[in-house]
Amino acid sequence: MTAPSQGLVAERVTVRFGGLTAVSNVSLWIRPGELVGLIGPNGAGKTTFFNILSGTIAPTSGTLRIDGREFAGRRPDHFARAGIARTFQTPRVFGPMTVAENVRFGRAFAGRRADHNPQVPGEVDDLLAFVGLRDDAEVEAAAITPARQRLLEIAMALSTRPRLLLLDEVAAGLTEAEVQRMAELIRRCRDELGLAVVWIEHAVGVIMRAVERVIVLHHGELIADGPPGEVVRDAAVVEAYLGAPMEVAP
Amino acid sequence: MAPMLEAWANVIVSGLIIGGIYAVVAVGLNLQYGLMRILNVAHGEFLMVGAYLTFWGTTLIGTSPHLLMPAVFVVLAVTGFALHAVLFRPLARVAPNPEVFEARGLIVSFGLMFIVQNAALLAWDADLRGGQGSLEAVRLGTLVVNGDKLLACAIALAVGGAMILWLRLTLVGKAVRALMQSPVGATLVGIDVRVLHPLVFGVGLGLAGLAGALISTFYTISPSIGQPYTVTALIVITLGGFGSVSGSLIGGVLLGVIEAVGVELTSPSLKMLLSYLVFVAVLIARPNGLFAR
Amino acid sequence: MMRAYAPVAVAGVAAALLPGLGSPYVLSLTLTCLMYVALATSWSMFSGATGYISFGTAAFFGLGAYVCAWTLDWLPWPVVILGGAALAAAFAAGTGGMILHLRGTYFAVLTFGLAELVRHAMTYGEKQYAGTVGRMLTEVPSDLVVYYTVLALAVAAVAIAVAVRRSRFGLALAGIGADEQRAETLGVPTRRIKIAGFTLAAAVAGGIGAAMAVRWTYIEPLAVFNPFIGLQTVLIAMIGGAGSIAGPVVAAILFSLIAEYLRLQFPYAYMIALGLLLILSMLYLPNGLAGLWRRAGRVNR
Repeated sequence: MTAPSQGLVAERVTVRFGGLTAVSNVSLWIRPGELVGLIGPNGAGKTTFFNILSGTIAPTSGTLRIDGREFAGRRPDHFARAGIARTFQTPRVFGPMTVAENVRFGRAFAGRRADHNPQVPGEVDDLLAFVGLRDDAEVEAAAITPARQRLLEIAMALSTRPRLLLLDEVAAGLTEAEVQRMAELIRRCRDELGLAVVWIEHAVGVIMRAVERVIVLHHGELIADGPPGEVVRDAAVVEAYLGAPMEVAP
Repeated sequence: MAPMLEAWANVIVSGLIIGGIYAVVAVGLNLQYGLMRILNVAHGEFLMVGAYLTFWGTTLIGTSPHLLMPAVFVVLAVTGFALHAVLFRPLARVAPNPEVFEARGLIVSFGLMFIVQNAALLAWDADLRGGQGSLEAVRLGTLVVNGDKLLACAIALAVGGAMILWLRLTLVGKAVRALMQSPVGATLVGIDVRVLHPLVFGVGLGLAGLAGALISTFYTISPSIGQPYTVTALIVITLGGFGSVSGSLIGGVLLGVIEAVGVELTSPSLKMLLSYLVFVAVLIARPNGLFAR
Repeated sequence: MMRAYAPVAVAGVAAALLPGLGSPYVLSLTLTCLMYVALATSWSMFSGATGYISFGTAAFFGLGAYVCAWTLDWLPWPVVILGGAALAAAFAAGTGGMILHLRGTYFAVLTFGLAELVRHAMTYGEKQYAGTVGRMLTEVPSDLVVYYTVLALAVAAVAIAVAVRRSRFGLALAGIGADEQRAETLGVPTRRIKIAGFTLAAAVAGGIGAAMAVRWTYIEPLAVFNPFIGLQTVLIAMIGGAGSIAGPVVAAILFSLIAEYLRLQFPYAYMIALGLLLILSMLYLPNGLAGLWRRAGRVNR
């Protein structure tokens, strides 16, 4: 296989904070339209890795290409305009604005041109309907429930009309029924909008049922990458999840 | 010693001495900001009040200014405690998030600055007072040092050292340090912020008053001396790092020496330009202080 | 669309007719009002929207004033004003790139320090190269020219604020104020937007500085770089409600009137009152006057 030119390719990506190595030498390829789960014990470097993929943190070393173009070290708005959208672990919506205004925001910036993904609807109404927030359109974002803010976060990410959606623990704290609906929504993002999705979740079970490919980070290193069925049997993964020091967050 | 070398030694020593005083000027403000995110820009005004209390105390009662210092500290500490209860606690209650509290707290302390400074002008008019000093010059080898400044510096360093010990050894001090590092963690272990915040705000004001008392023993005072000291304190804190007491001590001494050497190399009219240059440069390049990793 | 500009137009026309009707005293009072309207409105346009509280207005104002002092004798008046705006804007653009990565209190004290640094540098520079600290202005334009210049700048400032608020640029500024990092991940080039907003606000302040400079016959750094100009701008905008456009305008007018009556007769009492007002407004009216009538509107509905 030749070097991949479509999608997102990380090669030997490393991030160090002072003496601490948060992400170490990670290489992977996210292909267009893939639904990928990213798991790992506490402190594995999952969120840090997301921060790299969305430009929030520049890698200390390594390369990061989007459709063949180098993006390592560029600012988050470049990533957004290149078709990479993300959510945050704790929803970060614009509290004083209405739900509709929150979605209009991304549409006005990274989502202004549809050249990266015309499949994502451009109308704010359609986006709200897609995530199921149409009734809340004129409500202040700060006033809706945290679970609905999660949905709004996804609508905001979609408003940039991305090709790759990075979801950071969007199912955390939801009820069993809500988790089911969330998993369904995420699948629809891929099936109906043609997005590649990388989904971080702390709860391994949810991910294993929902995705086709699982990436496992442990102590900042990539220890497994494959279909869920194979990954659960991987010795290194089992070790990481069952090993004694796992509950200690750094 | 060669005359040239001796002149420079004099410059450095006077810079060190004034730097020691700068340190105590800054420590109180730094504690307040480090713990509560209140950047009290009226700090210098309370320093000025401390200087006046000392001046009037010595003039009216006729005691030594040094004996009055504990009283000045207590008066201003109580004032600070009350101000926190009346102003900053309600402010913290209504602010939606820490960032907004910080902005509003800054504006409130600007208001305090106007009030205190102009109340002082009303009460004491703009005349220069005091500043004659009472001690003989001290000879250190071949160096001649202003005795009042030397004593003030010694007291300032003793107070700074006491602050460090207080923070390291006492339960309250440990609580303050814990809170500076992690507000959430510290509340979890049962530290009562409702007592600690006004207490530390009071200590901050008390230290400002003490610094003013020290300064009044060798400089003339007027209601407008406060603001430049606020700036001095800000520069020192920037040099030493926000929230670090030992950083402030080092930063103060450093600024004293930088100023003394800079002025010696250029001209006294450049002192303020130089101070602001250091301030702006450090804040741009190393916003967490020179010694931050 | 027209509704927002209508009050501006009405007020502008009224102010434009004033010289024919009012006494010189009223005119000079209105001039002060207009100056603070322009400063507070342009300040709110950037700092109010983004939360980057700048105490640096004095630097922009002073630079504008010095451009006036340097060029008044040999350049036409409009060019002098534009020159003042241009130098202030250039300074803001240059420093903005260095300081706008700092947030909150750090940014606030840094702008204050920067303004003071410029003042001291100007004092030193003028002493070195011109031999004196101050400059005399001999041939100054008539009061009427100054009045209409400041009026035009004030109207421009308000019009800019309204236009910005309705634009993508304004939306970007608001996004930075609400959550800068989030705005960036939604595609806002935050760095460029911040520098542009800071620069635009500075240009207005620089133009005002150039126009108001002729009100002093003697220009010196302590007067035109007076940190109080920066402070008062922040106070007016905050008390008016930095998130709105009408709030700072109303507050600017109120302030100029109060200042006029109190400042000369009871300077200390004026400053004490100002301080009290600031504290009370932060405690009881944190969204400014604008918050007050927004609340009233909600009750009436």
